[in-house]
Amino acid sequence: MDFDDARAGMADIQAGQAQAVREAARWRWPRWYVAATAALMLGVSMAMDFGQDAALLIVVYCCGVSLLQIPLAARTRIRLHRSRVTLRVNWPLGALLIAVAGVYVLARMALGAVGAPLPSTLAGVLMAGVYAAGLPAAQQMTARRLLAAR
Amino acid sequence: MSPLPEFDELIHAPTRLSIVALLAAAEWADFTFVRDSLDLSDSALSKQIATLEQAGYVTVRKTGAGRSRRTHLRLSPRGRQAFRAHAAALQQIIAASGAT
Repeated sequence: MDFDDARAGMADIQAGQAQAVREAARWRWPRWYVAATAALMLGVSMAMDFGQDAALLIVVYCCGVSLLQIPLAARTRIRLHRSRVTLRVNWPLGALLIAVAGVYVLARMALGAVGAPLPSTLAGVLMAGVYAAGLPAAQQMTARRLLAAR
Repeated sequence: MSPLPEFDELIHAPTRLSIVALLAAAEWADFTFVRDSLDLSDSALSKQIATLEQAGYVTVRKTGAGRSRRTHLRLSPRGRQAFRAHAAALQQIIAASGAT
């Protein structure tokens, strides 16, 4: 084993790892998944206005989101190692989900305070809109961080 | 003095090194992704994977049936450890050559 052979080996290692990171950064949530998640958000928000049990709706939402993961996993070609999927890389997506929840809570409180009809439905429309509009931007930011961190 | 990192002849073969390096960055990767990334044929990749699997470096998991059948490749803890040691050995050789 000489210097050149070792350098070629290290170059192969770096190329292989970069390829894995590029593929992960290129991945985007499919439209059907975004639409289904937004529809689930809206459906649960609407049901809240019609006196449904909130705990039951939370269970429905969580089960729905979990079920959507099954076809999603079938489309994924690689999952990066946990050492690369850090909070530093993924924070834009986390921030988006917190913002989405915040939008619903604040909008519902505000609409309720002014006596608007169907406050949960309207807040749900806002929440689903923020989610669908913010996801591409959050995903781009995450991809940039992933590529920069490699 | 710390022990020398372990150079691994099995991993160092160029195609296998690329496969292991790619898998080291991932929790798992799809067979087709590895095949396409490294520009290998199905049979060439299968042969290398079988060698790595025999050594206990890679685990293979098949899911689904028919057209939706997929093969997931994963570096085992033993494979990950061997890869780290091998990469450290290469770096040591490079560092030593640079120092002389």
